[in-house]
Amino acid sequence: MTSRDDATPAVETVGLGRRYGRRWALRECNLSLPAGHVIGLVGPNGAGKTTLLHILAGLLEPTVGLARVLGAAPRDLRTLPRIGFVAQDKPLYGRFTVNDMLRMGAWMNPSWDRSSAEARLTGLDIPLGQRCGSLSGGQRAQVALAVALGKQPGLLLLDEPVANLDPLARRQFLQVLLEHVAATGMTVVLSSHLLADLERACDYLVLLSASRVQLSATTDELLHQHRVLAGPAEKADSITRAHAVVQSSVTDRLANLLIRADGPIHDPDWSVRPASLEELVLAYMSEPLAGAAPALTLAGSAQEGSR
Amino acid sequence: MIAMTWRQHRAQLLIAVGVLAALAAYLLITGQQRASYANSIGLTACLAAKSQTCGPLAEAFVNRFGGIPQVFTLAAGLPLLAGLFWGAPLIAREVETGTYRLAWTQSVSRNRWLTVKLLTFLAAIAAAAAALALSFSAWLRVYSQLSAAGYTDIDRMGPPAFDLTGIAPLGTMLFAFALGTAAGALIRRTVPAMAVTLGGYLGAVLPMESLRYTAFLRPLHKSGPFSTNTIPVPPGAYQMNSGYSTASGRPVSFRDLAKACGHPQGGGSIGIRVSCLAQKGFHISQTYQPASRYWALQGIYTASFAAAAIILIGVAVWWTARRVS
Repeated sequence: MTSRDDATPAVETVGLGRRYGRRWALRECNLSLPAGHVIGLVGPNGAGKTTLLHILAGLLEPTVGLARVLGAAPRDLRTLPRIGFVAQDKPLYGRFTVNDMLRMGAWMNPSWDRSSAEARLTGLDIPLGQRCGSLSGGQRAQVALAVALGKQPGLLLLDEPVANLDPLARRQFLQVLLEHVAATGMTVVLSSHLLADLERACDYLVLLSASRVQLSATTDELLHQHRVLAGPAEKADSITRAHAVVQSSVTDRLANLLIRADGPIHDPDWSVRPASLEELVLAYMSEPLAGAAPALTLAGSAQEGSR
Repeated sequence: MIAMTWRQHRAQLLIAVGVLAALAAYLLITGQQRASYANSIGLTACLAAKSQTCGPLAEAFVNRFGGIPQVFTLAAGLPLLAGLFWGAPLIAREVETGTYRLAWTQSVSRNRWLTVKLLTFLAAIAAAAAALALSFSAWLRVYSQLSAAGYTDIDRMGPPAFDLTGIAPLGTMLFAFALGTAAGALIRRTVPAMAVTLGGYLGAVLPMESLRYTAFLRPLHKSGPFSTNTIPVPPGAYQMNSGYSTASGRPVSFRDLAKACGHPQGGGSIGIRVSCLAQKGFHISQTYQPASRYWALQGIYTASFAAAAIILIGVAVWWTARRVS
């Protein structure tokens, strides 16, 4: 079931946008997410994460643009069986027992792996006879995940999967997820407004801020590219000319810069260290235009600051 | 998907089976009492022999049992329940609880999901309407025989029996269900959708209670010279208003009559004024729908509600596929 063509992106969007009345929840979203990764979709609340995931899951029609999931349109009948989706509040039928939820999976999906879904839940001591309405938050999340994994999807979309879970349930949830990924090579897109939730799980990061995509790269690439520099303020211009500055704070004498390095920095006046994922995500979030038009805008604002 | 639909809605369906079974049992028992009494006093045999002298027996029967109990007027409201408890929550509850995001991301398309649910409930409605109409028709049998022989006007032509026999329950039940489903899809919340269903159903059905006798097929008139006796109409006919006219057929009001033959409170006995009116050529007329039109009226009545139901279901399906979420 998980045989896939690595050349086909798991998710592809072109100029994707969704408007509610006058407000754009998502706009000009261009993404090409490679298959076989655990992809973290990070952004502040209201950045459009849920809107994007709902479009990819086929729940929502985009206002403009194009979305393709595993090489086909989200609402295509060939797509539905190949994607798994867990919505933010982990909706389950409250009157159904856990067992009924697993039966639902079999009733509504052509390929359904009952035995491993059941094994996963009994392994977590979740009684199959219990009504979903009386499950704890962590158990609800596990049942929702088990139903989504039981479909044996090639792509799993999770909307804020760990947002309302206590630390233990959070760890358990990610553990079950990553075990499945390791066994099947499934592609996962999971969103959170907190990077810390995802840092351990993801090897690819998409940053969505102010309804736009700001970053989309593997975490290795991001860590490799970004540097934190500290040095003399009067030399800041030479850096901004050569590299893309994401964030800068320049005082009379001292400049602190977070840059996307375009080549090595040899000038001994600068102290250079790698940026942590947390640092660089925060930098992009607090400079909403950084991703859209890197060098120009930020060079300008850095010069203003230096005067 | 059928198994899923059954698991999800079995409680709603089984409650309906319970309600209908209780009602059918009540109708069976009380209907049986009436039938066996009619047998025991020889009324059934008398009517079967088409004897002209069943009057005293018919009177005994009606004295014993009366007409159609008031409570049956409530039974005529049963179709509304299909709108409130089957239709309104069908889509609204999924949206309200967020489970639509679970249901519509399985491998079943949204259209198929809704189609299976709709067909399941349509089958349930057909069964429920048939059960209601058949058990009530059986209950009504003695009255129908009396009415056909002209001994009573209690029969299936008038309310509430018109609403509870034939195919009328199918029409109103389909309409209520479709109204509830569409309201639920558009409003997305169960309780407000129920309120709209209640209002919309009463707003459509109550005017139809009288319109079905006047607007579908032109009522028949029968008139005769003015007298204190009512104009006899064919057995089983549904009688509507009576009126007055001149000899040439021009309708006149009661005020005109008073002008022509003295004020009713003026002196003279009623008989004198009646003979005065008859002498001046005034006529009394009765409008009615004959019993032979029962199925035609049922057909038009049901078809109008079914047509409205089809439109509403179409709206619900379209809106769900395009706009919900």
